[in-house]
Amino acid sequence: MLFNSIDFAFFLPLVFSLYWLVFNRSLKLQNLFILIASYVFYGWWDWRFLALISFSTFFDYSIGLLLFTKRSSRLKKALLWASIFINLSLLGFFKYYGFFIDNFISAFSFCDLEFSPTPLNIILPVGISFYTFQTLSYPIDIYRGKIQPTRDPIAFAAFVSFFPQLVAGPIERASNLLPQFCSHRIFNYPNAIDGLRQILWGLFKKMVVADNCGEYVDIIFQNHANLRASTLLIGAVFFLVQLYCDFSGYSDIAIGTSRLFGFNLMRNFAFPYFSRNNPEYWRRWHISLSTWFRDYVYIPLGGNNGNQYRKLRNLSITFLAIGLWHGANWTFITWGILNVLFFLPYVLGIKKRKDFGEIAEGKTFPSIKECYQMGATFFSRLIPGIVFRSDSISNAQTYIVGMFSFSMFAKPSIYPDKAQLAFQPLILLIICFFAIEWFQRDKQHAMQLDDIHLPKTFRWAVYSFVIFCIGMYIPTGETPFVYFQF
Amino acid sequence: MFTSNFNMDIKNFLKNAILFILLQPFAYLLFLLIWGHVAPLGISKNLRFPIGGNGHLHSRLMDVKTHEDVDILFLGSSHAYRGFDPRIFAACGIKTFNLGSSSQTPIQTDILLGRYLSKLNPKMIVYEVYPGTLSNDGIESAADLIANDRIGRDLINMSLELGHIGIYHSVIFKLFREMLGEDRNFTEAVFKGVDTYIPGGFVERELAFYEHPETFPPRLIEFNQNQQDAFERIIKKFKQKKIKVVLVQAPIAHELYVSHINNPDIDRYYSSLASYLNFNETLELSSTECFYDPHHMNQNGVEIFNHSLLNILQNWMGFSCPSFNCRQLKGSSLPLTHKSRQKPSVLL
Repeated sequence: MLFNSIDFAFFLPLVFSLYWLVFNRSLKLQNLFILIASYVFYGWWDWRFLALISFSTFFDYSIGLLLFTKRSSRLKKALLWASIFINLSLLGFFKYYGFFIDNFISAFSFCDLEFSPTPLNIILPVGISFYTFQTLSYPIDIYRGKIQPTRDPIAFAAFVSFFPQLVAGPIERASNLLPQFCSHRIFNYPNAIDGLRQILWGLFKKMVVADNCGEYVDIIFQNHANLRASTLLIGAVFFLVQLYCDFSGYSDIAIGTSRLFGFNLMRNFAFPYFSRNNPEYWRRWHISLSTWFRDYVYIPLGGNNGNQYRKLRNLSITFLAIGLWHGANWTFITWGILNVLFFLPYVLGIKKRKDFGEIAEGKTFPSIKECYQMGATFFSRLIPGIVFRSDSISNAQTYIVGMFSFSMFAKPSIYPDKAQLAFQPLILLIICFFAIEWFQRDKQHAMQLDDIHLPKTFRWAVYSFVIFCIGMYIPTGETPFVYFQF
Repeated sequence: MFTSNFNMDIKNFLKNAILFILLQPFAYLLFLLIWGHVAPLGISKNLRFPIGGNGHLHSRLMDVKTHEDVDILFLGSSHAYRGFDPRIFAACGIKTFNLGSSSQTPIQTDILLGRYLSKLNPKMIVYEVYPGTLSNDGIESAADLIANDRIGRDLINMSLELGHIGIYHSVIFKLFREMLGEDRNFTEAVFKGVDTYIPGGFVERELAFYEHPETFPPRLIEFNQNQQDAFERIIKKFKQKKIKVVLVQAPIAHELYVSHINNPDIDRYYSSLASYLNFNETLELSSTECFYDPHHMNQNGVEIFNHSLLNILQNWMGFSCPSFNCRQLKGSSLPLTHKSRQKPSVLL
């Protein structure tokens, strides 16, 4: 079930009403209801994969209990590795089988050897990368003694499959989300209202900004070999905007929905395109994933400790793993390498990683220096963005080469008859969108209005206008979220 | 847990949520009304309201009210209203009307026939069947029809069947305009840029040439099931009413035509339903001399095509007319009235 579907528009109010009005007398009942609702939500896409989630849930729940009860540290270690191995094997089978087989075939044929494995038509279960990493954090945190295992299987199952963040995050830690399933939730009026505002803003980002950019991005990336450099540049910029609005839009809807049910999920995006350098960008972009890799990969490898070689090694492994997490394609691995390159000046000590603090704090507009820094950081994301979006390395290469030519100064030639919204209004829309985000940058989301004293009528008019804009710019048919493929 | 605070909060929340939801339709309609009047057309993605748009449909639908009992009725897309010139047929004593409209798909053809067929009472129907229209969703054509004709139950049903938010917006906006009487005094200009509306439904383009024919990627034309159903329903209707119907593929630029990889299948399909003439197979027209873009013939092409059609139809209707080619037309002085004939120098 997609957040931007009619099904969800009926599903959410129904689940919300039953949750608070029927099942609110018992925590166990509420958890059980969330579990059922989450399974319905996931099964709407393909019920067969519910077995996979159920297995993951049962396995990690059992490992959690065993980790806590066993005294032998060797046995504990073995249990932890068993959990990591099983979880990653499942992920690897569904996500990377085809990739590795294809590459093995290429490698064998390169050596004039024949290798013909049985072809399998494997469907990638939606959200497997997200919930695998979420469940992985549970045994690791128990092993590290950070949390105690829950003895409530329903609460644990609800934690693993919690529908707002099941398919595309934020990737929650057991230490943050699981305790919320074990304590009474209280309906908080301002929190619920702000949750609704966040959902609305998420839908606006997805359906108005991301999907309209996506129409151009699809056309430009499909025909990049025949287009002018200026058009390719616009395509790359639109893709960065699309990716941000699509994914952060999803996160906003997920967080807002959770708030309606009395849960607080972690923040996933903190206005990343207002970053002044790449390290800051990574602190603001897909926070739940980058902090997961920081805590469970980068720091265990040694983090910032050791000499420059060690630091570089740790960073490279982390970014390659992040790249691979996104998908089984050389483009994602290259994207990871490019990100390492951006960090190189900081690892080698050429540039100092300093805490910049809030951008233009207390000021309405940024300084010229800050504008330059933000612009440079944004444009530095173009090349990784192109690699990320391209189907293959060779396509990315032709796109990037095509972007650096004299036709950069020619008028962009975008087929207006193929995209439904003309190109100039879309640019205007993007500018307005970022202006709103800029003025609300110190908030959790751009539609947070709780400390702004506006008459109720005016606020309702604003919400109604946002709804109207969604209706006016919604694409034809349902468009899935970009991150569903990961 | 079930405290009075909780009761108050949830009660307040539900009360406000329900009130907000109830108010939304009114707020939405208000915004739509304002937006439709103040926002430029280019920025309104889901409000398509091309009143007096490119295809002169408004003029055509005004004009159709003055016609009745025609010999031939032309139907179809812009290939029809830019391809069948009633003056050429009139010169042979044939009374025609061209009821084509932009990207007209069978769903809209069906509505137009429901509204105007009995009045026009044609002896024969020449139905232009560019296969692309049968693979089209029909949104563009529906918006054109909604904006330029009166709203009725047929158009509302069509909108519901199309299920497109842009079309819902167009219907609601049109209803508003009808209520406010805004379209009552609307008159469409006869000359619009390079286009001129010719009484009888034709739109003549100032003479221009498709000077740089491009290569089109191969395309498999797959019919939209709803359009195909509507199309077959229309053919059935003609047969029931005993109206002679000829399906015609008007010429398009050769480069575009050959890019359709399933032309033989399409020909077989049309032939199985009614008399069928594919002029792309039988009439050789130079892309650079007889077209102004890959889809549309210039006036030179139109004349050759119309005369070829007349030659074929003469057996059925009992008349004859001379035939021409584009080279002859360049220097000739055919009895055409349009200003475009004044600048043939571009050609040579």
